[in-house]
Amino acid sequence: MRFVATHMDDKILIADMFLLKTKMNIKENPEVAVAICHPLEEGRWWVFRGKAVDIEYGFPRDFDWYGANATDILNEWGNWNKSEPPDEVPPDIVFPKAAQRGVVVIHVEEAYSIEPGHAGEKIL
Amino acid sequence: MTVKLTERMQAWIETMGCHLCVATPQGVPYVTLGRFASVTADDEVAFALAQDEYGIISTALKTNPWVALGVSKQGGIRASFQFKGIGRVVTQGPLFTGIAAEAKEAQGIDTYAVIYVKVSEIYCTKPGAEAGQRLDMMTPDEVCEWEKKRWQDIPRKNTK
Repeated sequence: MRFVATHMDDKILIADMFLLKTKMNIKENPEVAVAICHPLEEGRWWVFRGKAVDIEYGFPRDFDWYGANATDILNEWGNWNKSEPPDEVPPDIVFPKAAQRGVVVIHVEEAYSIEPGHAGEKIL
Repeated sequence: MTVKLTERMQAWIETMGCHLCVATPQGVPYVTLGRFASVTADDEVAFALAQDEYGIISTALKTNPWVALGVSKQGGIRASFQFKGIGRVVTQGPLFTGIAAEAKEAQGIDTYAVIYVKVSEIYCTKPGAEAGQRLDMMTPDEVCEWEKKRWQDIPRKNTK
């Protein structure tokens, strides 16, 4: 995921950009886990768990997800490709054309470690 | 449809290891690391897990054997695939000791359980219009050609 941010003290935001299968999964089941994939070292052995919603452009602007407001989210991150163009992504990986449909907001409820020797230990 | 991991997929999986994800029947997900991975058949990958790593997923895996995996580290970006299949846990016997010995020698892992995942579904996770596309609906030769048109980098060949 190239477009990721944190919001408030307990939210992870991910651009709904080509999510497709993930979007369907979240609509069926909001329970999600997010793990750091790369780089793993330097203390980034984390898995965050919580509940997710995809705040799409058509959502009521007063929609609230555990304190996160749809208007605030979409105003700041609703056109992520424009505000943070992925210039550093190699040409064989980057998508040819951005198509954002919203922002996935994950309300983090707990986090645990996957560091070898400490896997499963609760962090948050 | 027959599933056959391509040479490139196998190289990324074995070089980088994988993040393994399981879920309870209620849909609660759990992620652990499969640091040591060995492709044991065209459609099968074995992971050597230490006790703490296995402990994260053991309960869920007992009630729902489906495992989803993605390549760890840089492979998550370069080898943008998600693999799914049924996991089988082995804690003793030759299927355990062989992989455990390799994992010990390669990475010093004290293996508690070996999970063999029989891959039956492959999805593209490359950002863009093809994200989520199911690849195992193609023949193995078609998957190979599809991949070659997009990527040529095979880590084992590039780094050694």
